Amino acid sequence: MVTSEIPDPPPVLNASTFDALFEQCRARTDEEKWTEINWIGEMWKGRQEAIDRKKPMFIWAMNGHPLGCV
Amino acid sequence: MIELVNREFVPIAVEINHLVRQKDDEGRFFRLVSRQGRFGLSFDDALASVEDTTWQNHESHQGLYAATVNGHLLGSRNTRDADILLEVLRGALEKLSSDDLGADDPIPQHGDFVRDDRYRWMYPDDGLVLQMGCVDLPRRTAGEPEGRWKDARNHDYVWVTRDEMLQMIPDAPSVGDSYSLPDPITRRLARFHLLDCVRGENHSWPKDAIRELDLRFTVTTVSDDAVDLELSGRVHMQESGEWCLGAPRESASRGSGICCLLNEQGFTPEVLGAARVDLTQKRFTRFDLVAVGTRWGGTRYNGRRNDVEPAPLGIAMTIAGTAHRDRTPPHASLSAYFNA
Repeated sequence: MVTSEIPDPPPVLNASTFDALFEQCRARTDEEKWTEINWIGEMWKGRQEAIDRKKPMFIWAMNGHPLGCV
Repeated sequence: MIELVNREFVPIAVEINHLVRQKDDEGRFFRLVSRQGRFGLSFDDALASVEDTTWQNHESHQGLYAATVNGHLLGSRNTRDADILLEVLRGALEKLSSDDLGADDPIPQHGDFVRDDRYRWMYPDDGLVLQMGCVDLPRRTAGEPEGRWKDARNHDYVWVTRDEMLQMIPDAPSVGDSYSLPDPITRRLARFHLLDCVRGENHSWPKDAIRELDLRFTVTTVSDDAVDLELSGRVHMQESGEWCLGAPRESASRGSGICCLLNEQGFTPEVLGAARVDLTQKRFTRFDLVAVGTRWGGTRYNGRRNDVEPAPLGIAMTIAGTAHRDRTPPHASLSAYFNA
């Protein structure tokens, strides 16, 4: 690909545009509903807690960590 | 449903690429549960299979599972539909109260647990942990993403050990000093984090995908106890391959073997950032980075089947929070991550 022939160029990144682009691109996990669940991010640690609390486990299993990049 | 999950269950989120291969009790336990759910094995058959770390690994073990602590499946589905999941969870609770699930303990519940060395990440408590976000930026001419991709974004975590972080902190800074970031960190950022994962996980860039990579700090202000740094640079990542995608879920050709072949991906971001170092504690108190550039192409899993033309992509990083989920390891191969 010849980058000079791009019909949809990226926005200009400089000191003036930095804050707006940072805000646009930053992770927004705090605003997502799944973060309202008290996830434990490791199978073994979660199982130990389930044993201690005498509760069943609800397991969300993904290729890529569900609390990170999936 | 959120209330039900928090009240009645212990919710656990796990990365299965590791668990299906781990040669330890954590991996065995997950395989015991997932093989009853995803593959419909009986408890006894699943238990008999857990030592085999290759069984059905060509199929995805992704899903949502409810299970007892001794590994009996109570319910499972792989769904994004909250109503269906709620039905599964209610059914699991009914099953828990009505069935004799036995007091067996096929995989020890207690005792010392040592994770398989290959998957033993150590959170860098005294180092630098960033949270990364990535998103498609507005397009001028091509159509904007639609449907499930309209507001797609993803995130990941960047880990830098204390020793590595100290290498980024100047000894005797003066305004105007400029120096390159240490090569291992520059390569880690580029290969594992400056990539298109907006619509889903993507493999890391291979070493030979680096066409241009220059990230520098410039000292902008210095005081007795702090130094401010500007981060700037250019990156060009590009690789060729053969990534075969089956027909999409909604297509009549799904499962027919028809293959859409993608054979290139690239990303050419400019990078700008601002950082502050506490010179007394020798740690970063600010590390904000933005990378914007053109991406094109796609790979097996990153959802660009119908969106391979050049388009703008944005990535931002900042110091991660302190919630439990902010301790999630980077999406990367552990052995490669610290040897980028």
